[in-house]
Amino acid sequence: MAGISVSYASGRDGAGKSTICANLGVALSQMGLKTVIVDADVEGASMNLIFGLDFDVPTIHDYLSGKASADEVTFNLKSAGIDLVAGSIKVESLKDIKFDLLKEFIAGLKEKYDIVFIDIPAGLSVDTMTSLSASDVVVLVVTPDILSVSSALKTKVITKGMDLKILGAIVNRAGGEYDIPAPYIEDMLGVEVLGSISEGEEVKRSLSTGKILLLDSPDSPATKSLKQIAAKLVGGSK
Amino acid sequence: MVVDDEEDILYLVGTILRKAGHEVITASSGEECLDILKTEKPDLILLDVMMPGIDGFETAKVIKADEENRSIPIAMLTVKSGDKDKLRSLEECRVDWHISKPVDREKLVEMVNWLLKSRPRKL
Repeated sequence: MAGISVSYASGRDGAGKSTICANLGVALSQMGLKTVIVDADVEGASMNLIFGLDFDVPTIHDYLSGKASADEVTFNLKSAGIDLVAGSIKVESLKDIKFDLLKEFIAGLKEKYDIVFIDIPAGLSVDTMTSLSASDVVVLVVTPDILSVSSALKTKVITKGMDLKILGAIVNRAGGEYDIPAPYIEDMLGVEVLGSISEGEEVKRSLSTGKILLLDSPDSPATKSLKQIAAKLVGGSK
Repeated sequence: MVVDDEEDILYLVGTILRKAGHEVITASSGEECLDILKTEKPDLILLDVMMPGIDGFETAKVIKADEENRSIPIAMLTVKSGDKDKLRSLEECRVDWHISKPVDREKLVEMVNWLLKSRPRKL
């Protein structure tokens, strides 16, 4: 049976979707699911950095420009328990890429994996739309502020127009005194808030040291939240 | 300030908020709201959308375009609760929140308290 592709979308940069996508990928792998993460944020690739992978490896950019096969751009990260298709950070790598090849690339991965996570570009660019169209379901990532929530609402409207199912929203960097409370975000977006992740010291440390929170701080509150969200994702995507 | 063309809603929302300890003034149209703002500076405006004359969307835009009043937080309080209505409120009219009717008493008070705390009017 083919696996399922899940896009992580946010209306604006800086919501933390890549970090959340990476950690949830590790969480699902720990739950026994064969998981691959694809860094399709071609202009803002970050998965190499998040997983500490060499920047010179073949990337999704090489596949999309016909320079490498799917197998050549897919790397097994033993310590994280996942496979990764990284993105290039080199400006020249954007030249000659055919982003519409992404759909067939993802379809191929779904034949081999239970879960294909796609870190898609923020915003509503053509590349975002193409990435969304390669997905079976979408998870919205927001921060608890009005700009992030309103742009996520816009992404939701577009996503619904493409007949894609939204599994829910994840509220990142929650816990501030003036935050929009999660139930209000749920009302505004009209989708379930799968969980909120607060930015404790462990989260800051993992971001600044380039480590995966789930592996670096397995007992932190944010890790517990991520694991709860992962369990909901597995339930919701069936 | 609660703005709605329906007297029953003005009475109901006004009563709920007064019981929760807030001072409430009311306006029964967008025009009356704008008129009141010439002399009064409320800490929050709850604004209906569908009203005769200037509707809530247009009223909000006028308030947010006025340097003297733009820091007054506005929440739409309306039955127009589709995603596109919410987006129009947040993006086009730049209001601070959108509350869909019907809303229960407790939740309305909670939301008003949150808006007053998190988006205070600049004095």
